[in-house]
Amino acid sequence: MTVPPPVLTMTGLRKAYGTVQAVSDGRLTARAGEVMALLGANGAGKSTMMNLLGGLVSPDAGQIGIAGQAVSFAGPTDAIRAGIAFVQQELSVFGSMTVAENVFAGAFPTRAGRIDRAAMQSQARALLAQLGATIDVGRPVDGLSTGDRQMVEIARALRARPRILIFDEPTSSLSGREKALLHTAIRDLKAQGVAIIYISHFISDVFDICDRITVMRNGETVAERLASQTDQAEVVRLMLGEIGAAGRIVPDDAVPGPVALRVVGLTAPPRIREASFDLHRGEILGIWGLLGAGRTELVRGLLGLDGPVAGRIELHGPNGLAPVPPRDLRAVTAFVTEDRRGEGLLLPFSVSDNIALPNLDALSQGGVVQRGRVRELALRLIRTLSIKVSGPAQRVGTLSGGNQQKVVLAKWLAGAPTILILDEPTRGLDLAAKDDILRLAVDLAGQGVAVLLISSELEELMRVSHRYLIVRERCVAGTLPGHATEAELIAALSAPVAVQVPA
Amino acid sequence: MMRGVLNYGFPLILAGLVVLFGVLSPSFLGLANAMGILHAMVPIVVVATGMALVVMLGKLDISVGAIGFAGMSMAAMLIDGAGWSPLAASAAALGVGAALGALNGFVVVVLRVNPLIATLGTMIAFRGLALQITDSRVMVLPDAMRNFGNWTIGPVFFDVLLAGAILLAVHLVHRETPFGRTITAIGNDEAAARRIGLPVGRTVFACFVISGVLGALGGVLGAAQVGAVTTFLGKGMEFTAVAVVVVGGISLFGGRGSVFWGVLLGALTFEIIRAGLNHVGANPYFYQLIGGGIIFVAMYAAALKARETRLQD
Repeated sequence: MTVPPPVLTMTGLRKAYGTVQAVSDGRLTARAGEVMALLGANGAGKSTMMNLLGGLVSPDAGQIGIAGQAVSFAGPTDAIRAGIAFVQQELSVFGSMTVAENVFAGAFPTRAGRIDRAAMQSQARALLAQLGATIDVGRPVDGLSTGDRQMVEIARALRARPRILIFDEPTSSLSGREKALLHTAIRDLKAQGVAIIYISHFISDVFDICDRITVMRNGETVAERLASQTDQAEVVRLMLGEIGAAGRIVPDDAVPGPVALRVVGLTAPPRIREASFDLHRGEILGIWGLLGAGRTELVRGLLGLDGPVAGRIELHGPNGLAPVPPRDLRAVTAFVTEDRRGEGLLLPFSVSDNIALPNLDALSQGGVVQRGRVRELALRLIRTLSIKVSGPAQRVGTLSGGNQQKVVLAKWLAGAPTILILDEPTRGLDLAAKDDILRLAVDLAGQGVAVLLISSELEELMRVSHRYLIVRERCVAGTLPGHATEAELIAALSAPVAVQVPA
Repeated sequence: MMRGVLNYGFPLILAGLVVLFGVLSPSFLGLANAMGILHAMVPIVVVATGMALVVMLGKLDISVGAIGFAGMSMAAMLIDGAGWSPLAASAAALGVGAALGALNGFVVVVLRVNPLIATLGTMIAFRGLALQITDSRVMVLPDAMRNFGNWTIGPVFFDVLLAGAILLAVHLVHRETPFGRTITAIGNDEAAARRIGLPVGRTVFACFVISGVLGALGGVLGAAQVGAVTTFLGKGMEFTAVAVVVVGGISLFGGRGSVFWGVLLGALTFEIIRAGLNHVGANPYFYQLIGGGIIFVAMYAAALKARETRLQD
């Protein structure tokens, strides 16, 4: 078999945003009739590579060649003209417009100024047929399934007859059947000679349909492999690189307290397929999984934040474990995420007002907020969390990221939660602040709070987890003890989904 | 069942109203009264047609009444002071409408001010401009203009045909041209429209210009019907236009509804009730109460319909 020459070659690419070197040595090739996977952990530089390819940003150094010709893009239209098309993770379809109108948005065929509907519909039908999709092109997109909407989006990308087609996380919101259809469509496109780049966090998907795999880490392309000559374990190792020395700040052999929360068969496809586990008082349970494995979906599903879920949630109460609705779980849970502003931190408000807001009932008497109590509470929490402020009246917007995150924690802790869920709590913080937040989590666990921790920085998890909950492809695949070795942990990320641990 | 009521409820309610007023006052059903109702609808239909395009974008233009007043004030001054013919002066009024609409478009697209706030500001400013032009006087228009405003061809008023033609033309532009479909796309999801490279800024700007021109035309036709420009010209017109559009089923969030049916049914609803109450000798203030009630019912029906659609998914 002869190997076709690459249609796309990206070599030696560099791109910095301010002082952040997003890509330092980016390489990527794509060949006609092949599917190239682009993999990497969070912050590896995949998005920057795609922005460079899409003409959204221009490189500081390096070359992009298409069919052997060096190109430089001044904007997205240049990239489109060069035959590059994207299917973005975020769908850009218009609900009240017909399928055909969506496919041709921005390039309507016209006759005497009027849209030529007959031509538009027959061409849209042909593009969808090419994808193996049978969708009525005259119906509005409203009411189509996510999978069908994605087909509409792909048909739009194909309309420009691209040579290179990029799929960015195409399956993250698809059901199993829809995913199979998408993969069939991608194989057909491949057979028609389109060069495809496929970005996904689902490593098994990648091995399902990709011919080659490019792995990026910390802005560099670290490997290109033939899919047939590597395996999931090697790819995960390449993605993660060496995990730094962990320096654990919790003992390996802590005796867990009683079960605070029991989850049995939590299911909400496609976000959560099956999750059963126990969370003990006084422990930090680290959720161990790659980005896209369903970590955030799991905790949000647990709290009932994304709509109804099937399964049982049991909470420890006066009469032992008893099933509760997600609302009752939310009442005793503090949920802190990386999105500090989205979590309702009001930057122009003072530290004490921010802490007081969710707790106003407890701080008022006869409908009037007691300023003295507010101040008292704020001072107490500033002290326990060692928030660095001039006083409770300082505005939150003037604090550093780490101290803002502590104010978020303080807001929640004022209600004395029994369960604390931390989703990427240290994202964007400097090293000292990260360390502070982790130590706070350990202290809280020491006081009997049950902590569930998500972090993309695996070293962080390895420093503080009493146990690991293995999450893979939207399932809870088991648990590992806190003293698990690095090799065991890495293996757990890539092993095929098999066992369910009984609760 | 619910779905049927929501889909066909509107024509049923309209028919019911006609029957009700017909029973209470038989002369309500006469041809002359029907023609009178259509004639009275003309200014609001023209203004609401422009408003419909802006609402399809998911935006609002509440300066249209003030634009109508300003445009017509300019026309009256040109007729009165400079001796222009009514036709040339009316054309100048439309030019003023286009210019003021372009100013709205500039503030919204280039300066990125929220459309409601932007046109609230220009509404006040344009009305002030018009009062400056006319010196707050009532200006009487020449007979030729008044005759034009009430000119009939057979039983039909000419301006009814003109307004109908404009409504139909805008409807077709909205449904059948790339420009119109881009409006709907922006109303569905402005960020997505930008992502796939649709000309968002240009389209929004054009809609505000069209809204300005039709606002001015509404002012000209309204003034021609009564034969005078008063300081009340176009006052409250912007809110009636929004109400007409909303009652006609065009979503305030943009992207949904029919320009032709929306404006026609919305305007008919308000005018039939106003004329009917007038016919049966009701207190004129009662009309405002009913009007408010209709807006509420229409919004509630739209919310129910949206919920039904969601449940179907």
